Amino acid sequence: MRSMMRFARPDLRHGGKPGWSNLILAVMLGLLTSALILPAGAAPRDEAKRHFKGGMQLIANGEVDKGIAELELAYEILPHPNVMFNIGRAYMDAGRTEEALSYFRRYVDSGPPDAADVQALILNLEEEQALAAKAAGAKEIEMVEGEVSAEQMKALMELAERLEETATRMESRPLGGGRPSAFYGDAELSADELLAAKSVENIYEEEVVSASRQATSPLDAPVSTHIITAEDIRMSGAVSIPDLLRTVPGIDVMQMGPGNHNIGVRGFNQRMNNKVLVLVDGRSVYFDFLGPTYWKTLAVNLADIERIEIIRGPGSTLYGANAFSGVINIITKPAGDKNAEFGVIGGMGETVLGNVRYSDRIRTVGYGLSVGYEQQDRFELEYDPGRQDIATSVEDPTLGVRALRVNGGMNWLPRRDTQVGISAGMSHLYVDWYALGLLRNFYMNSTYPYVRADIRHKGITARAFWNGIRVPDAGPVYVAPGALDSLKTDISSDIIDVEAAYSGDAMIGVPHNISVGVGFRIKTIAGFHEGTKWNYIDDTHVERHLNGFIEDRITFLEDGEKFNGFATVLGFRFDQHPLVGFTPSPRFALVAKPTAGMAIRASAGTAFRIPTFMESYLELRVPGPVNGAELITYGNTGLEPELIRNIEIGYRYEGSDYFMFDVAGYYQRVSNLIALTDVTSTYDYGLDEEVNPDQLVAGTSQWDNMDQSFGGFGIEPAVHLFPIDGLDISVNYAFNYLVDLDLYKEDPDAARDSRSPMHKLNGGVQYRSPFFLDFGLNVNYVSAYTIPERTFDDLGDVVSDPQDMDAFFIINARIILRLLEDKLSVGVTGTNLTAFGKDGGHKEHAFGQTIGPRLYGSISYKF
Amino acid sequence: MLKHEAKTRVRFPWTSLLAGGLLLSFFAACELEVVPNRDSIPESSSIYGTVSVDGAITGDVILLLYECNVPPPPASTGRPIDFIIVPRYEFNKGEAEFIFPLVDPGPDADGDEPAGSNCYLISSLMDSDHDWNPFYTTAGQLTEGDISGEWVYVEVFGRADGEDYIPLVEDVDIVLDIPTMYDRPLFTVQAQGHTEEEPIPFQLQFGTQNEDGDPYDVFYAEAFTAPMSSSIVDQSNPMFGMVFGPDDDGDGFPDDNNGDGVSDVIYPRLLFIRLDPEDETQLSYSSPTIIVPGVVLPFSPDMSELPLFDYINAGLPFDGETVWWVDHINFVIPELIVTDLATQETEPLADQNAEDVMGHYQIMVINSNGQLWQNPNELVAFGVEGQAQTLPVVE
Repeated sequence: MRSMMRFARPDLRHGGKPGWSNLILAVMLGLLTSALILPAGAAPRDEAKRHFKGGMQLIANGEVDKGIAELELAYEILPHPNVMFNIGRAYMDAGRTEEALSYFRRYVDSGPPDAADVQALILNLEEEQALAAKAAGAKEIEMVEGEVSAEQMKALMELAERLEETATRMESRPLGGGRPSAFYGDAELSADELLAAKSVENIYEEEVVSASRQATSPLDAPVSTHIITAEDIRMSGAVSIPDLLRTVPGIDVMQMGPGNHNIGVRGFNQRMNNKVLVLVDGRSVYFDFLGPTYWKTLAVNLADIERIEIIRGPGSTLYGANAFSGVINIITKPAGDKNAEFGVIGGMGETVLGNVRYSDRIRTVGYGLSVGYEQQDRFELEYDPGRQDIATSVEDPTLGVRALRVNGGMNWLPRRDTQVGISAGMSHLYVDWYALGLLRNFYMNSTYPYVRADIRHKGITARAFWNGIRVPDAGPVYVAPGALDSLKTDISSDIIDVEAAYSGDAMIGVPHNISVGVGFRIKTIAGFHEGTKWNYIDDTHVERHLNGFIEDRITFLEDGEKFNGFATVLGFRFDQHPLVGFTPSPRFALVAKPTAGMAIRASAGTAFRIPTFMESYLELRVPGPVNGAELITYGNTGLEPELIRNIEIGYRYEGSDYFMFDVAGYYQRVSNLIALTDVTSTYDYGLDEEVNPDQLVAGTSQWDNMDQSFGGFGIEPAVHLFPIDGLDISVNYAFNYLVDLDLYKEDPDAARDSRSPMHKLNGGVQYRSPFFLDFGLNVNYVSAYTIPERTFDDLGDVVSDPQDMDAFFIINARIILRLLEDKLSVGVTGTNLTAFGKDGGHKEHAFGQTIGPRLYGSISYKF
Repeated sequence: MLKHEAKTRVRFPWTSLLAGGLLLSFFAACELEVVPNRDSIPESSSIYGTVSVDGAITGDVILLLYECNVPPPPASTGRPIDFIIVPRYEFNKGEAEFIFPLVDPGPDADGDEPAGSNCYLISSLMDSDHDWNPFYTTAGQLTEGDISGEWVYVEVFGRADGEDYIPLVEDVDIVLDIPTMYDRPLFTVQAQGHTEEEPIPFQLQFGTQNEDGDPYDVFYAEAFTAPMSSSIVDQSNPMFGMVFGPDDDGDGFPDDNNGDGVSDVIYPRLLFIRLDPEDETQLSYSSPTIIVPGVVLPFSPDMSELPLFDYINAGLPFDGETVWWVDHINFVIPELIVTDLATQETEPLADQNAEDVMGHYQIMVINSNGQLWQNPNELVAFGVEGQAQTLPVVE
C-alpha cells in the first residue's frame, strides 16, 4: 500500500527544452573559444543531478531498483546525505523495510540537523517491522482473507493526503526561498515537510547565499554569480584562493609574488586593490586601515573550503561600504560534517602545504578543527644576497610566505528551529607583499585572530565577530645601509561587527520575502610603536559605523502555464560613517524565468567605498629622491567615498542536462576615485626633527578624490559543457572597455583608459575517469594593459610613469590518482606551464615578481 | 548485500606514498634565481667614513655629494646629486660615523681594462641655525654661524677583475673647521648713476653700437647687500666677500690676468644666466644655457669708493684667498657670453641670434666660501619683495 504514496512530482523547471537560438548561441561561443583553448571549471554536481533526476523518475515510474541504482550513482559522484534518505524512502515505499532502515540509518549517521525526526521514523519502521514479525505467527489468516483492515486503510490514506499537501506547499514556496547555508539543514520544517522536502529535486541544485539576503539558486540570483566548488579546488591543484579566481569571468588577478595577489572585478585592479569585499562565511575580512585583501592572512586553508561564491558588480546594498565592484564569499565546510582528512602538497619553490581537518557530531552538537601550514619561496630575488650596498630587513629574503592557520568551530541545534554557532581561528604568518605609491617590496610578520558567534531562531538571526590584526613587525624588505628606514612599523587593529536581522515571508497581494536588519561596526587602530599609535598615521583613531538594510523579494508570477516566474528584488541600505556621513545604497532587480531552467535578470544599483584609515589619517614618511630627504604623504579627512553606479542585464540557461550558459552585460560609471596628488615641493619644512631627525622634507602629497570619472561597459559570456559523465568543459570570456568620461567629451578616440585588460579568456577541462585517474587543465589569457604608476625620474622628481604590461597566458594542469576507494589521492600539478619556455615567466605588475612555473606533488587522505 | 555495506579490505599503498614523497623532494630542490625587478636599484657602492667638527656641535651636519666635474659654488654652479644628514645626537666627542649609500660606481673591469672610477666631491656644513634646505637655492648654502669643511674628493671604483661585488669606499675623513662670518650675499642691483630723479634702466642693449662702432657698450652697474629677515628666510647680515687676485708680478697690486685694464677681483663672482622664456616661474634656464659673466671692479669708476685701497691699507696680502667683506660692489658686464660654464668657452654676444639672446637673465652672486644668492628665486612665489629682479636684454 505504500506505493500509493507518491513522490513529489518531477520539477519541470529543470527539465525544459532549450530554445534553438540559445542553443546555437551557446554552441557558437563554445566552438569559437574552444578553437583557441580547451579549459576547466566545474563540477560533478551536474552529473550527480542528472543521475538523481533520472533515478527519481524511474522510481516514480515504479522501476525502483533501476531508480535506486541511479541514485547510488549520483551519490557516488557527489555524496549528499539526502540521497541516502531518498533511497531509504524508495525502499520503504516498495515495502522493503530492512533496506530502507539501512539507508535511513546511514542518513542519520551523517549528522543531519533533522536527525531526530528521521530517528523517529526509524523507530516507527522498526516497530512496524517487529509487529510484522509478531504478526507473522498470526499469519496468513488475514492474508488468506486478503484484505486490509478499514483502520489501516484510513490511516494510510490520511498519511498519503498529508504528504500530498506538503508536496504542494513545497512547490508553492516563493522563488528563491532558501536559507543561508551557515544554518544548513531543515530545522524550520515540520516532520511532514521533511518527508516531502527530501524528495524534491533540488538536492544537487547550486545555491548562492551571497547574491541576496536569501539563499537562491543562480537562476534566481538578481546579479551575476559564479561558484567555485571544493571539487574545482581539488581538480585545479591551486595553492591559493586567487589562483582559483582566475577562472572566473570578469575577475582580474594581479599576482605580485607567491603571497601577494590583487583581485579586481571588472577593472580598476591595482597594487593593494581595495575595491572588492571578501567574506569568509559572511564575515567581512576587509582591512579597514589599509583597504586591500591580503589573501594569505585569511585563516582559511584550501581544504577547508566548501565553495567560493563570486558576485560581480556592486554589492553595497547587501554588504555596505567597500563591496564596490564585487563580493567574494568563501564558504567553509561546516563544523559537524563528519569528515576527516589530511593533505600535503610540496614542490618547486620550497613549497610545502599541509592540512589536517577533523569534524564530527555528537547528537545535536557538531564540531570541527582544522590546522594548516603553508610555505612558499618567492619566484625570484630582487637582489643578490651578497651585495654590500643593499641589506635585507628579513631573516630569509627568499621566503615568500609562511603561514600557520588554525580554525575551530561548533554548532549546536538545541531545537529544530534554533541554531547556535561559534567559531574562532587565526592565521600567523610571514608574507612578502608590495605596497603602493612610491613604496615597493614589503614584508610583515603578523597574526590575525578572529572569533565569531551566530544565533538563529526561526527568522531572526544575530551574529557578531571580532577581527584582530596584530602586526608587530612590517616594513620594506630591502633597505640600503645608511638610507631612510622610516617605513618599519607595527600595527594593532581591532574590528568588531554585529548585525541583527529578520527574514520572513508575507502575503501582501503577492508573496513577499522580506529581510530587514541593522548593523554596527567599530574599528580602531593603535600601535605599539611610540606607545600610542601606528606610526603611519597621525594619531590613534576609532570609527563607529552604523547601517541598516531592507530587502524585499516580490514574486509576481509563478508556475504559470507559459511563464515560469517573475520576481523583483528591491533593496536599500544606509551606512552612517563618521567621516563621509549618510550614504544610501539602493538596488533594483528583476528576475524573469520564461521557461524552466532559463532566467533573464536586470539590475541597477550603486556601491561605495569609504576612505580607509590610511587614506583619512596617513602621515607617512617616504624615502625621497636623495638619501637625506623624504616625502610626506598625508591623509585627508575630507574625502568623499568612491562611487560606482551600475546597470546590468543577464541571461542564464540551465535547462539542459548537458550544458549551461550564462551571459552578463553591464555599464558602470565610477567617480570619486581616491588617489594620491602630485608631490608638492615644500619650502617652509626644515628638518623633520620630530620623526626623522636625519631627514629633510622635500615635498608632500595627499590622498584626494580624482576629478576624473570613468565609464565602462563589458560583456561576460560563459558556457559549461558536461556531455558525458566525468567530463566538464568550461569556457568564459570577459570584455571590458573603460573610458575617461571627461576626455571622451573632447576626443572619444583618445579617451580609452587601458588600466584594465580589455580581453580575458578562460577555459578548462576536467575529466574524472571511471577508474583511478583524474585530469584537469586550465588556461587563462589576459590581454595587455597599462597600470598608472608613478616613480622618481632622473632628476628626483615624482612623475607619472604608466607601466605597460604584456598580454600573458597561464596554463595549469593536474593529474590525480585515486586509490583506496578514493580515500587516497596522489597528484601532480603544474602551474604556469608556458613559463618553462618563455623567459622564466611573465609579470602581472611591473614592480612585482616574474611569475614562474612550478610543479607540485600532492597527497591527501580521507578517513 | 547492498553496495554501501560492502566491506573491502585494502592494503595501504606505501609504495605510492614513497613515490609521492620522492616527487615532492625532487620538485623542492630548485634554486631561486636573482632577477632584478623593474624598480630594483642597480648595484652600487657606499662611502663610509667619519665626520668631525672643530668646536661645539650646535647643529646637524650635512654632507653633500657632487660630481667632481660639476663642482658647487664657488667653483661652479653645480647642484648636489645627493646628501645625507648626520644628526647632532650621533656625535660623540666631536665625531660621528656616516654612510653615503647608493653611490654610482665607475665601470667594472672589462678584460684587460681595470675597473674605472667615478670622482665625487663631498662638501660639508654644520647647520647651526637649522635653516638649510638643499631644494631651494635661497636656503641651500652656509649662513652666518655655520661651520663648513674643506671639500673631500673620493674615487668610487667599479667591480675589480675577479671580484663578485663592487667595493665599498671606507675610512673617509671629513673635518669641519671653517666658520662662516656672514649670511649669504642677498643683493639688489642698479645701473650706475641711477638716481630717483634720473633712473637708468638696468638692462643690456642687444644689437646697438656705441660711439666707437663696437657692437655694444660696456654696462656699469652696482650691487648693494639687501638684508632680509622673515619667517621664511632670515639673512640679516649679508655681505659680499671680495677676494683680490694674486700679485705675481710684485707691483703691489693684484695682477690683471683677464686683460680688462684693472686689477682682478676673483670673488664675488657675478653671473647672468638666461631664463627659460617659457617658464613663468623664472626659475629654470633656457636651453642651451647662456651665461654672461659680470666683472667686479676693485673700485668704483668715479673712484668714489676704493675697496682695493682699503684692503691695501689694512695690510692684507694678495694671496688670492683673503676675504675683504663689503656691502657694495661695482661691476661691469662685458660683451661676452659663456655657452659652457664647465669649459669656459666664450663667444661674442653679438654673434648670436637676437631671439636666442634677448630676454631675462637671472643675476647670481657667489662668494668665495660658496655662499650664493640669485634673483629671481623661489621667494617670489612666497610674495617676498625684491627677489624678482632680472637683467633684461633688449633690442
